[in-house]
Parts: sequence; C-alpha cells; structure tokens
Amino acid sequence: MRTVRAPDLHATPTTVNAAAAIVAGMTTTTSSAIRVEGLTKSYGGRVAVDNLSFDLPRGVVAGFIGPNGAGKTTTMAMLLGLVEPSSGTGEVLGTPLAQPSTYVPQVGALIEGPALYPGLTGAENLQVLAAMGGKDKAKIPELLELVGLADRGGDRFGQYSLGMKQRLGIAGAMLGEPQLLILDEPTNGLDPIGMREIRELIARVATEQRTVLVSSHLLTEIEQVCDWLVVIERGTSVYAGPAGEFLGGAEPTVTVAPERPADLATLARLFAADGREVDITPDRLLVAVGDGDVRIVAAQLNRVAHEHGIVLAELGQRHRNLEDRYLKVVQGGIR
Amino acid sequence: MTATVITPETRVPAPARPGGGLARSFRAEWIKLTRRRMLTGTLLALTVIAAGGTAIGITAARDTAPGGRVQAPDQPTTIAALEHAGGGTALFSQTMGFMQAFLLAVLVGAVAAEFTRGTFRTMLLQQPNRARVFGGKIAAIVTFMAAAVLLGEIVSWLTSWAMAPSQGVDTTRWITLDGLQAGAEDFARAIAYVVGTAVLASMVGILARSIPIGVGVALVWAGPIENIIGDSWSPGPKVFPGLLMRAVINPGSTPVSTGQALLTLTGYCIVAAAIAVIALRRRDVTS
Repeated sequence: MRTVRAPDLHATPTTVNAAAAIVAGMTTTTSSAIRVEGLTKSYGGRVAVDNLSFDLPRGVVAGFIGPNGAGKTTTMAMLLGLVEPSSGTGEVLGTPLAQPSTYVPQVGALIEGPALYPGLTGAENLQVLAAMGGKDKAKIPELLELVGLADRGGDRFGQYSLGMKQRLGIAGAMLGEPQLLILDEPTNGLDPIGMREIRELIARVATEQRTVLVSSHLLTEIEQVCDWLVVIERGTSVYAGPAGEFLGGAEPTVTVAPERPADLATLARLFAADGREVDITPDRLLVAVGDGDVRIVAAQLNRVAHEHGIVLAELGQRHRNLEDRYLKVVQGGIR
Repeated sequence: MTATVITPETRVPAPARPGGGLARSFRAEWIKLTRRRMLTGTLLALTVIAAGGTAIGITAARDTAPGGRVQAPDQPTTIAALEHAGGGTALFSQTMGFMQAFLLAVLVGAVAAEFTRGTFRTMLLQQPNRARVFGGKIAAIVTFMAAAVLLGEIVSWLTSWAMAPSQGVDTTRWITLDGLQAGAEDFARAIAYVVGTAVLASMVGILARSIPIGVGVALVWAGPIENIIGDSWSPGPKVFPGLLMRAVINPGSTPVSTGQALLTLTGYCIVAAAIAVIALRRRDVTS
C-alpha cells in the first residue's frame, strides 16, 4: 500500500516531477519506464505539448488522461519517435528519446487507431508486423487467442468491426513481448461491450511487470484498469502519480441536489461560504467531508439549504470517482 | 513511510530475428506481394495486358504506313522490325511504353496509401528507421515487378510466336543467340524503366501523402503536360522524365539515345531519392 502523499495538484510540472522522484527515491530498485522533462511540441505558433514533465515507474498500468486536444496523442507520438519534439528531453526504458531505434523494438504501441492493411487477413497483418519488427511469428496464433480473434484470424481486416480492429491492433502491439505498451484511445468508437472487452484485454496484458500507458478521455475506463495517472491539460502536466492519491484515497463526499436545478449555483455559493469544498456537476453538488463525520456534515448542509428556502431533492453519500476529481482539477471548482 | 517496491525489468525481450531493417522491411512487403490473391490477380492482369497488347500490336503490323509511305524499320509495328532478332519481345516493350501513366499512377497510389491509411506509421512502430522501412518496401515492389516483367516478356513472346505465321512474320531470328541477347536487353530496359518509375513515384507519393492528389499529379504530368509540351518544345524529350523513360523502353521513339536518357534519368532518380529520404526523415508521421 502506498502511503506517499499526493503531489500538489496545481503544482508546476517540476514540482510534480519532484514528487514522482521522491516516490522513486524511496526504493533503490525503482526505475522509470518513461521519463520526460520539459517536453514541448509546437506547430508554427500553436503549442500542442507545453513543457510536459512526468515520470512513469516500470510495472504500472498508467492512465494518460486529458481533454480532447490536450496533447495526449502528440506526446505518445513523440515517445514513439513518430513526431520530433521541439524541445525537452526524456527517456523510454532508459534510452534517450533521440534514439527511438534503440528502444522502440521493446515497445508495443497502438496509436491513432489500428492502421493495418484492409486486404490482408488478421493473421497476415500480424505476419507483416512480425517480419517488419524481426519478431517471432510463431506467437501469432497465441496472440490471436489472447485478443479473442482466434477464429477470425483468416478474415480480412477490412471486414472486421471496429472492436475487432482495435483488438488486432493490440495483438500487433503485443508482438515480441514488449516491456512497455503504449495504447492511444483503445476504446475509441466502441460500444459498451467493446469497451469492456478492451478493458479486460488491457487487464490481461498488464502482467509480468509490463508497463502500460493507456490514453483515454473515458474516465470510467481508466479508473477501472489503471493504478497510475498522468493528467494533462493544454499540453501541460497537472498530475502524475498513483491513481489512489489522485482520487484522494477513499475520501467520502456528500451529494446534494436541490429540487430546483436553478438553485444549484446558489447552494454551491452558500456551502462554499460555509467553508466547504464544493464541486459542481451538471445536476448535483459534491461536498467534501474532510475530517468530519458524514452524517453531521449532511445535517449541516441540509440546515443551510433549509435556512435559505432551498428544498433538497437528494442528500446522500458517495466516494469520489475519477471523473469528479478530474473535473475538479482540469476545470476547477468552488472551494 | 513505505512504498510499493517496483522491481526492475527482468524479463528479457525476445531477440529480433536476424537481418537488418532493410531486409526485414523487404520480407514484410514480400509477404503482402506473394499472397495467393495478389499472385493470382497479378498473373491474370499481366497475361491479359501482355497477350492483349502483343496481339493488338502484331495484328496492326504492316509493311507500309497508310498512304504507301514506308515505315521506319526500327518501329516495332512494322513486319520488318518484328522479324529482327528482338521481335519476339519488342511488342511487350511497346505495351509497357503505353502503360507508363498507368504504372506511375499505380505506384504513386501504393506509396500514398501507406500514409493515408496510416500503415507506414504502424510499420514505424515495429521498425523506427524510416528510410529502411521505405527502402525495403520499394526494393520488394521493384523485385516483384521485375519478376512480373519477366513473366510478361515470356507471355508476350509466346503470343507473338503463336500469331506470327498468320501475319506473315518470319520468326527464324527470334530463336538464335542474337534473339536471346535482344530479349535480355529488352528485359534490362524494362527493369530500368520500372526502377525509374518507382523512384519518381515514391517521391511524388511521399510528398503528396494523399492518393487523389498524388495520382492526380502523376496523371496530369505524365499525360497532358509531358506530351503536349514535349511535342511543341524541342528540348522536352531530353528533360522530361516520362519521355526519357520512353526513350529507354522504346529506343528510337524519341530523338534521345538510350545512353543519354539513362544518364539523365540516373541524375533525376538520385535527386528524387534524396528528396524522398529528406522528406521521410524530417516530417512528423501523424494522421
């Protein structure tokens, strides 16, 4: 169980990185799967990734989260040598970013969707990838089995559903037993069943000390499979560390929903004025309990609402989830 | 304060199979090219083109041009030219000359598709050296096309041989050492033609990174621009790559000699390959 304190969520990237370094420094055997420092990518005047720094220990399943356009895919592309950084340094599996030819053979990746040859069968596509990477093609049947395509390996890739394409892409990334898996939005465009399949697949492949970095804007997906988080916004790191720390452990919150939705903002201001930390969701407020007793805090909130003539339709208790925490960090909230 | 110990990576990755990046890229492309469907399709198309083009050419062969003018003996559509030692393979070379724009468009499309489909990016995730990935692919395609050309020459020769008696063409000189040498020369010309086309097509495909744009540029250039300007501008046959390649595959069809055409084309290919490699290395690979 990690008992390290979470870094300040609004700290500068340097501070975030320093916190990660503290984690690393506590054990002499820890080493980074990925470490970037001041990574920046500009396209003309537009900055896609801005001075990004984070450290990813080996063996974790890390969620790489941020809004659309935050720079997740660009960052992954830089890690894989597809995009040249404008500035900054970093290492992947202990090798400098400037030498992708050295480390990419040990990295499996699926980026910007599964791009394979539509006229080739699933198995043929994997043979092409194995030949290109100099990897053992004898593993292909095993990988098709792993991703649930054992009986469809002879079908053309162009005839696959999106979920099957994503799974084949993951199988391709798994060729050669990579030490690090980088998966960019593997559940993108999938229906709930497809998402669950991919989630279960990630859980299966995240074994044997393999490090996984998976990006998504579907936070519930990330929450269920990841034990480490890298959160970015507008190309800058806002958090990098254990998922549990980001979620604030098991800190409970009180959910409050007024009878009239129009009272939501008023209620938030009242609670904030009362010294409460409040997050607003579209239909309810999430009020941090802190060190207090949940029942007492709930009663106090009810009293404040009643004193101002606001009728509550809901007053309950829940634990923060990733979405709550993420929205608070990325979008801010009333404190 | 305690922390979960994350042990260092101890699993040794499976060693890469022997062979450099270029050889591996060649093997990967070869898997695509030698699939049964690909082989069947290529064989069928090649037979139709080689046999059809040859049949049309030999049927159209006359001793004299319309109006009674005697045709030049180096034009393969004359009976006299077909009776030369190299007459058996001359019509395939002529057919390839006619196919220039089509061949260029197919190759540009194949290169551009690697970028539009994102498959080049996927290959780079297995082998990050871009020049090797691309070089291996092109080498495999050229090798495959060389085999196809050889097969086409054979089909064309057999078609010519079968149809020659009906057109009054004497094939005695075809089955001689001179005939074999002429066939080998035609094959070498065809390979130079294919390599030149592949290099130029690669540059266009890499720069365009779009099938419609790349194929459009190739067709407009190889069709109207080269032919219209080439007809009206006297230096055209000496400088336009398409016309130079025509001089290689169909010697005598332009005022430029084979040696001069090959020399100029070699220069063009070096420049085109350099541009392609620079573009490959410098550009970000994103969708």
